[in-house]
Amino acid sequence: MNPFLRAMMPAILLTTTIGLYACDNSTQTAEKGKSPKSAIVSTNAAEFITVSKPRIRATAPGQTVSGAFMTLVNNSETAYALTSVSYHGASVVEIHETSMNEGMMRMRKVSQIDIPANGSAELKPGSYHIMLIGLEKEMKAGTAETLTLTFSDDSQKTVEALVGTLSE
Amino acid sequence: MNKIIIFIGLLAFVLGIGIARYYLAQSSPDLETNTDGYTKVKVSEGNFGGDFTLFQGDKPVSLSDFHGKLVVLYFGFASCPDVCPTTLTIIASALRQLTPEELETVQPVFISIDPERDQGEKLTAYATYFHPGFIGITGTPDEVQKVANQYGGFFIKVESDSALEYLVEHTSKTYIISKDGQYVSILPHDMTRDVALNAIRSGL
Repeated sequence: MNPFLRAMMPAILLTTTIGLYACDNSTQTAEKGKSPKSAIVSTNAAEFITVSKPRIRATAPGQTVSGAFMTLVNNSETAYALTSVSYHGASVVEIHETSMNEGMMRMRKVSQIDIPANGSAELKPGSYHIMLIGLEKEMKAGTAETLTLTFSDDSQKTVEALVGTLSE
Repeated sequence: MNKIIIFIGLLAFVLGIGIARYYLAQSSPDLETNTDGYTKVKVSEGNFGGDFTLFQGDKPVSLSDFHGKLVVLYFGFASCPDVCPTTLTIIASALRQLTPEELETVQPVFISIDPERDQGEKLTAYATYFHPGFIGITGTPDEVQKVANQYGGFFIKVESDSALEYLVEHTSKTYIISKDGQYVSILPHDMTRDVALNAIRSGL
């Protein structure tokens, strides 16, 4: 190998690497552009996330707390989270998690429920639930209440939750 | 402060488990695990199960008042949004499968372990909402804790950043006490309606 080529080798390698990298990058961009989801209207969590089976547990007379449950499905490549819920008929709404450890049922307040990209989060008895605290009226089976969900990107979605006894 | 309370709570819990294991081990010759999804334990006065007295409003109610009836016992509290209603709904659903004659010999009892919030009318309204046959009783926090421990149940009040101020950590088992008061069937939290129904029917 002549001295010139030897001297130029690092430069050649560098240029090739940059070139390859650039090519690689452009393919990625092209693929991203092809992705149908980003091309269509959905731009935020509220549009990407679908809610199924929203429901509220009917309350006993005088009972001023209840739980709301639902399944949140994230149809996007981005992970989101449910960060808060509001309901006009409750003084406070919180997100709680029930867990069982050595036969002990424990409930704790959590700041959010993660909804993974192309995944889902299930709010169900014995797990995550929305805690409606300080209910102004009884939750009667057969009625429906509007809940407003707020996601991690501050987008919001309202759902009609059916009130039921949540038995078998 | 919060951490200390949680720590004390955990400590009490661990101690409680230890005590329960000890008592259950003591009564182990009479412990019979049923293949139907529950465990039947012989009452051992001073160790496991037995009589107690709590209150429905001002009126004292004792377990022995129901001698001759099968007692279905559950500890819970009205501000429990998830676990207690789930179990109470299963119990109620099993009770609804019984004939009126069968039901006459069954007494469902709900003990509130949160007497600060659940009293008198409110407690009755809560319990009977699930099934009209229920009676709701409670006592002072100490009295209630004592009865719970007698049956191997544990409850810890934990301070919380929730608007509820405190949350209650608790066991969620259902106890079916035989008509003669001699045996207790312990049903797990995740029992089905049919497991509950079988356990009730086999005691009638």
